[in-house]
Amino acid sequence: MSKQQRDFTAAEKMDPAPSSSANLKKKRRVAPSTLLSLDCDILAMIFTFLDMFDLVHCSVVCKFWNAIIESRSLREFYQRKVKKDCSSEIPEKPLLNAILGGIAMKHHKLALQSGVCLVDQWKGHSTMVSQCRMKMGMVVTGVGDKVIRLWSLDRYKCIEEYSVPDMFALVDFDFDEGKIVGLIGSRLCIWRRNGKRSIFPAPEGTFVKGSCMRTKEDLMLPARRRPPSPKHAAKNPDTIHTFQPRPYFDPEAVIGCNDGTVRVFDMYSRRCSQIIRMHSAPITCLCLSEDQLIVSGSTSGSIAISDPSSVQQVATLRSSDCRGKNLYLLIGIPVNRIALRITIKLSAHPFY
Amino acid sequence: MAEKASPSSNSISLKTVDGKIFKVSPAIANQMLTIQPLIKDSDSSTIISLPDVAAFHLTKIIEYLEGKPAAAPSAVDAFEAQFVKDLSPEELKGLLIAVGYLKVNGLVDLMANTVAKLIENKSVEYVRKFFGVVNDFTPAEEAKCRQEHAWAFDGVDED
Repeated sequence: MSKQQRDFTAAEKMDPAPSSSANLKKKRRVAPSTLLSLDCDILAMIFTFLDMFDLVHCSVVCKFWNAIIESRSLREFYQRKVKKDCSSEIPEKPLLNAILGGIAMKHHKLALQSGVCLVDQWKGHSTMVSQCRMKMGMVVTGVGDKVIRLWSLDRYKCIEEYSVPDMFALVDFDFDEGKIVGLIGSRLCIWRRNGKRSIFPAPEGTFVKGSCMRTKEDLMLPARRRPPSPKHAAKNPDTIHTFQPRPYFDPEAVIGCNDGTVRVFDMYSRRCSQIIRMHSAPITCLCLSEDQLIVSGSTSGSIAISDPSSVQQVATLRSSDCRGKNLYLLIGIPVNRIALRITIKLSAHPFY
Repeated sequence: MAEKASPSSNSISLKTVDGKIFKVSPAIANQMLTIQPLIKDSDSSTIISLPDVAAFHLTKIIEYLEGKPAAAPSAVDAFEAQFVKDLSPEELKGLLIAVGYLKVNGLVDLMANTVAKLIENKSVEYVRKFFGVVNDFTPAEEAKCRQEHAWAFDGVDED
């Protein structure tokens, strides 16, 4: 506001007498056309009504807006809302910037459990890799380049490296104490931790292209690693014994295929021991639950749960916001850096 | 509406930037917090100038203050919805500036909320264009900001 207009500002002083036409002319000016002429109080008021996503957008609009958003606490922005909604969710951390990490977690709450988390990250591969598995204090990463790397979580060091044969593309992999099993092209490849590699072709020759794979955990091992879930135990105390070490159980690889079937391969006899039709659309991801149920998601956005011992479909879940893209997220997080110590939970799993 | 007894029972004259003079009752004027302190000193011959307010905007503000039902919240909601329904985005922006300047009871919230709804889930470029804000970030700075909050830039509506 220029100095001569200042005299006529209502907040300053009232006009002593009806203005002459000369006065009038002096006062006439172009009405402000941008919100830059608004002070930060009004902008902050608008920001109050925006959610976190829009706030972040606004923080990139210009430096002035950015300064407003970054300098105020989230509490300040939400105070009004909280009062209005009587919501119990009062943000506690002082600066907006400081809690954005937490908000991002919330955004991905389908895949990530809320709570305190510690993220360590390091460079794992020279190119983007899209799969990672974590078990027993170790992480295996791969798919995207020609190596699979095994990392120790204690030291954040690459312990072992396995190369993928040139003529095949690695699709998916899984691992246990003794070996890493990869789905390459239409074959299974087993890398033994002692260095031997064996590849076996699809037995039937006409192997439908697989898109994901898990190995069944060796049931000999560790009841300690696999405590019965309290819920399950309470409901069904008689079945607890099934969680105890069993006699030897052949290792199997479970492969989700593009034709909507899940095929179970016996890794010793190298045979397909079971074909389970789970979806009508290609399967994008699958995982095995502790009680050996197979949970799979398809491109059509549905999730199916099957019990291979009875070949029975246990449940089918369908969710409009659970498109195939999201299903990938549930089980494999695309990473080229490895994010750890995040508890990944299959939120759609009904049993836990 | 909080009717406050004003020392002056005369109407207050408000003059907009485009030279129009509006006579309003003290009860109405009292709800514009910016001019509130001036009211008790004024009489019928006083004209209060509002350099940031155009006639159209003052008309709307008075319409709001006079028309707002005092009773049930639902009636207020309906009235407010109707009030902003006919305004174009351009008019909304102008009105927001005027309302922000005058600090009009209740209307500040309503306008801010309405404007906020217009930029909800819009791209940064849309917001800049909408408000006529010049981007003073360097491309590198902007890229850095976006990188920091990459999670928030998925699934923005088409402009």
